[in-house]
Amino acid sequence: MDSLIEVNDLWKKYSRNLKASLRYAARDLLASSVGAHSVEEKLRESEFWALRNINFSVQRGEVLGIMGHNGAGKSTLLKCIANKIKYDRGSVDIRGELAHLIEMSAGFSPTMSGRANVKVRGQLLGKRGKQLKQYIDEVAEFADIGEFFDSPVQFYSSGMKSRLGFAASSVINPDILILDEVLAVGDLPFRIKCYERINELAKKTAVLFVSHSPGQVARLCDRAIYIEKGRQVYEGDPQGAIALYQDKLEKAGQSKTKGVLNPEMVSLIFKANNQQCDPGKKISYGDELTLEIDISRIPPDSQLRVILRSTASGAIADWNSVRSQLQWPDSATKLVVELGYAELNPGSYSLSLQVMSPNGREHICLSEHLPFRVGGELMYGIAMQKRANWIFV
Amino acid sequence: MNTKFANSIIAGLTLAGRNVRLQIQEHLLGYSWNIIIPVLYAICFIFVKQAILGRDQSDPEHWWSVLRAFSGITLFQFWFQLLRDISEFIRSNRGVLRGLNIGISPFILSLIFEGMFLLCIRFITILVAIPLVGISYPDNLISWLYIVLALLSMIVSAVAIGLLLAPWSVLYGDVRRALQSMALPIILISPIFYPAVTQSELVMYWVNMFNPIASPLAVINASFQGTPQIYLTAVVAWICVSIVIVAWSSFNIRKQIPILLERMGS
Repeated sequence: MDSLIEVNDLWKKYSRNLKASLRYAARDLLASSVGAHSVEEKLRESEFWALRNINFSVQRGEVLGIMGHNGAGKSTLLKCIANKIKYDRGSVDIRGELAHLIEMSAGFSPTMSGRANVKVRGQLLGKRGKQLKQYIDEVAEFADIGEFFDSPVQFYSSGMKSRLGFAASSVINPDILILDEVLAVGDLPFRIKCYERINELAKKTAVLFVSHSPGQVARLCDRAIYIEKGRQVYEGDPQGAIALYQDKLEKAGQSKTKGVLNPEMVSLIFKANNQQCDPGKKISYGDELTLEIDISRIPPDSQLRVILRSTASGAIADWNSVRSQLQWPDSATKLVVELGYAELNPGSYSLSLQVMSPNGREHICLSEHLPFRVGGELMYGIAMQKRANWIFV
Repeated sequence: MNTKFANSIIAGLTLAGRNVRLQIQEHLLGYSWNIIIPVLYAICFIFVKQAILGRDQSDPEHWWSVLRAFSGITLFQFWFQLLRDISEFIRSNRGVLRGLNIGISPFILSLIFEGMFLLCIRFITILVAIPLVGISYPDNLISWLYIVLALLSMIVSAVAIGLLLAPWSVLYGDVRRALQSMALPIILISPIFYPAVTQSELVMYWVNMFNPIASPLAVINASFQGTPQIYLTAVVAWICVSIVIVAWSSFNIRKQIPILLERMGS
C-alpha cells in the first residue's frame, strides 16, 4: 500500500531569543525574496533543534499516534507536515488532500455564528449548493451544540468550540487528517463520537494523532512514535510508546519536589503480595497491596488517610481510617493497612500517608510518596480497573 | 490551472463577503463611515478656506476646490485603507491561514474585492456630490476612461505597496506605525487641498510623479474639470510597475508564509 505521508530526516530549529528570532526571520525573508536558499542548516546563536532526524511514513487506513511530553516537539512536527512552519532539513511528502485540526477554532470569526463560520469554511473548501448545505447540516449534526450553532462563536465554551472545530474538520473526507490534542476537551459522549469518527475516517484516511492520553492512543492508533526532546526514540506498537511515555512521566514525577509535612513522623513499608516493594518497583495487575505504618511517633486517635495517586491523573483513591471506623488501642507501634488488590491500569502510581488531628482539622504529617509501577497491557485510559463477577442470568 | 484560479476567485469573494458582514455586524454605522469622514473633511475645508481666504462662494473655482478636497480625501482614505489592510492581511488572517490550506490568493483577492466595493461606495458618493456643489459631469467618454484608469492605478498601487510591506508588518510593529505617520504627510503633498502643479520643471511635479496617489488624483481632477492631463503617464507607469510588484510579491509571500506563521507564534 502506498504511503500518504512520508517524513524523511526532518529537522527543525527554533530560537529562544525573540530579537534573534526576528533577525533570523528578516534574514530568511530577504533571502527568499532574492531566490536564495532561505534557511540556514546550521544552528545560529540562541537556536536549538526542536526536531531532529524524524522519519516515518503513514499509509491509508492507518492511525499513527505521536506521543511525547510537553515541549517534545509533537506540535512542531505536525505544523511542519501541514506546511504551517518551515522545516530546516529533510523532506515531507504529502500525497492527497490534507485536513488538520491543530488549533481548535483556527479560522473561526468570533463574532460570526457557528453556522456562518461553517458556511464560510465550506465555501473556502470549494463546496457549493447542495454540497455546501449537506456539509453544514453534517457539521451541525456532529457538533450537536443545539441552538448555539446559530450564536456567535465568542459565546461558546471551550468544549463547544472543540466540538465545532472537530466537526468542521472531520466531516469532510480528506486523504490525510492531522489531529493535535483535539480530544482533550469535550465531554465523554462527544469524545466517544470522535473516536467513532476517527475509526471511520481511518478506514480510508491516513491519520496522525497527537495525544497525551495513553488510553486514546491505545484505543485509536495502529502504530505510534515517541518523541523526546525533538528526537524520535521509538516507532512501533502503541503499547511500547505508551510504556515509554509512562516511564518518563514517572521519572518526571519523581524528580518533582513532593509536598511533604513532617515526613519523619512516619515510616512506611509498602508490600505487594506480601513482598516488600522498593520505590519504583513494578508490580502486576491484581497483586495484593499492604501498607505497614510505624505509628510510634503519631498522636493516638489521629485520623489517617492513605492516598493513591496516578502520575497521569492525580489522586484516584483514598482509604480513610474514619470511614473504616478505626479504634486506636491503648498502645501500639505498628499499623497494617490492607489496601486490597492492585486493580489498576498499567502506569505509574504512588502511595502516601496523610495524618490529621482526631477532629480532622489540623494536618500533622504528610509522608513521602512511595512510587510504584503497574505493568501489563493498557486497556482504555481509566486508571482504576476493577474486576467484577459477571453473571449470566 | 483555470479551476484553481476560479476557486481562488470564489474563495476571495467568500472571504470578502465575510469581511463585509463582519464590518456591518461590528460597527453600528457600518460602511457609512466611508461617507461620513470625507464629508466632515469637506465641511472643515470649506469653513477653514472661508475663514482664511474669505473667498466668495459664487466663485466657481471655490467649488472646484471643494470637490477636489472632498474627492481627494474620499479616494485617499480608500487607497490608504486598502494599502493598510493588504499590509496586515497575514496577521489578520493568521487563524484561517493556519486552519485551512487554501493558499494566499483568496486573502489578497478578498481585500481587493472588498476594496472595490468600498471604492464603488466612495465614487458614487463623489458622483452624488458633484451636482450638489453645482458642477456638471464630464461630457466626453475619454474623461471617464481616464477616471477608470486612475482608479485602477490606485487599486493596484495600494495592493503592490501593501504586499511589499506585508511580510515586514508581521515581524515589526514599526511598519504599522510608519504607515500611520505617513498618512498626513501624503495628504499634504498630494493634490487634495491644492491643485496639482502643471509645470514639469517644478520639484513638486516630480514629487507628484513618484507619489502613487498624487497622479491618479490629479488625473481625476483634470477629467472632472476638463483641463489637460499632465499626470497620465505617471498613472500608466504606476499601473505597470505595480502589476510587476504584485506578481513578484505574491510569488514570494507564498514561500514566506510558513516563516511568518512561525514567527507569529500560537
